[in-house]
Amino acid sequence: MQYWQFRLTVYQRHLEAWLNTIKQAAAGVVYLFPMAMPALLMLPLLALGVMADSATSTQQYCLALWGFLLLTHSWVILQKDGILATPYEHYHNGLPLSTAQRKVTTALLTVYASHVFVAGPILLFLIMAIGNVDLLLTEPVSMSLHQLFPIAAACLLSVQVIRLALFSRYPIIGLILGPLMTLPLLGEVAKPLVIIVWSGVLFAEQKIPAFRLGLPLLLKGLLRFFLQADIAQANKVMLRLISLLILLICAQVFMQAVNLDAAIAAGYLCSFFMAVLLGSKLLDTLQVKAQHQFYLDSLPVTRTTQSTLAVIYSTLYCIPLLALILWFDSFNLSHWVLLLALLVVTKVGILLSQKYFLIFPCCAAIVAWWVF
Amino acid sequence: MLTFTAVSLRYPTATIFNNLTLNLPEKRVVITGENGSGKTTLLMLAAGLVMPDAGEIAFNSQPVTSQQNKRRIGISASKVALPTFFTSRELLDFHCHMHQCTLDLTMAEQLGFSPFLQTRVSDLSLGNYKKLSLLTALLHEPDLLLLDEPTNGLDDDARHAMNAILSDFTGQLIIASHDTALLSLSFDREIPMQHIRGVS
Repeated sequence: MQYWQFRLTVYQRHLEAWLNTIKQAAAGVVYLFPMAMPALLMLPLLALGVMADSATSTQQYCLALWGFLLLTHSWVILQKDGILATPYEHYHNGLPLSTAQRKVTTALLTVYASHVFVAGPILLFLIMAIGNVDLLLTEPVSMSLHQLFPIAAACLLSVQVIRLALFSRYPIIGLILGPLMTLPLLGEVAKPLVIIVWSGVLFAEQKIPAFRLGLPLLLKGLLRFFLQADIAQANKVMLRLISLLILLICAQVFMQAVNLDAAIAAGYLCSFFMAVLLGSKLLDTLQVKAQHQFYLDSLPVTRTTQSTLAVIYSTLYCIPLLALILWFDSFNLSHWVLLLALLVVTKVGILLSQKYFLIFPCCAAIVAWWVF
Repeated sequence: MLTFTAVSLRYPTATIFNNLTLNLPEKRVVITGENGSGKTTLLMLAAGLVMPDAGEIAFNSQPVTSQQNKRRIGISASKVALPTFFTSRELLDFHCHMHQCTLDLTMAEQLGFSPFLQTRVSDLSLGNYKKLSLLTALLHEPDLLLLDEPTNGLDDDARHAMNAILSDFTGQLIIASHDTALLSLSFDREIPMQHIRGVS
């Protein structure tokens, strides 16, 4: 077996194992996957289309780019161990290979693993450049730059983000907090300035020493138990947050691009997905409870109290996520009513039947659609 | 006094106990038997962590599942998985908060566990995990202490410390072990699992 085949096999085995275990990783998100899969595959392509069009407004461009980078980063980070052969790190380090050979193989495997996100923008850039070679040669350079800059910038940023996903800690400022805070200003600034600042922030963030925030002392007992479980499994928390952000970005981009009636309908659809995504947090919390059921039962707390506190914790957990939805300001009052009602129905559904909980918000959504 | 009255427990492939009636008034009891003979299950039933299909289990005339008895029972068993996402100190803090007791680290010191208080539970060695499990069983000063294979994974020093702690324990002590040679305690009663299964 060649070195490349070895790395490829490690990657493929990791991917298989990951697909098998993702069901345990975040049940709510996984339940949404079958429904969202076609959309998920289309998202990077749609984002590329929006970004490649030089007529796209700065705000739309930045939102599409943000969603694309979030997807790219998440996609690579989920496959990171497979790409870097981390489970076999010591054996891999012992192989008599040059550094260049290792780096080239890692780069090839990264391209293989993240084809849509790397090859997509590069291919689009090449198609645009080669297809319009006549215009590029005859028109002023500034015109060509104006046409090709958006997609070229997307290529460079996605490569930077992939590198960060593989070799650095999570760029929480560059990928989440920064774009979130500057969301209202995105329409006011020129695209090149946004790209330069964004790239600079992504780079500079890694130079800041890592630090840990202390836990709020307000939470005691089982609420703290559930919080600590979440902190120890930050990937699950991030997966839910990123899923919500991507949904919000899609909603924002789509609702701004269509007429009012279609925008309202799209808002209802997004309310449904967000309600299930947020409500399904209760599944994770109940799963943590089930994993430690013997230990929890040995404590002087009844099972009813345990479940009640799980519901309270998962509701508290949703508050910052609901604030995030509010911050995006995409929804009107009726969207909010539907979102909150479906959130409650999802939680009730989970308490009644963890396996078939999705039936409850689906039925409620159909009834709401039929009545209103 | 721990009592089992007409207790039955069946798993899909085997009957573990069938109409078991057993009184354990003795202060120190050791239950012996081979691996898989049902010792751990008996302790789990005694702690109220596994529900019997039929029958009643009581400690001092109250069901072991009552909230009052939860405070009076301490168990250390490999089946009772401790939350691995805490550090050891955080878990002990949490445990004491739930049992409304004050955290006393003297026993941790005796067991040589103090250097590992800031270690995440998932990163503990088998022996240190066992010590932590013993600490969670003992910290709230239970009246009934149930220990499953308490010497497993412990080094000589820790075993001596554990024997000393258990010698000072004033409540009812029930130990399940396949190998009692490492326990330097004297027991009031030794019951082979074979006998218990035979009785039931």
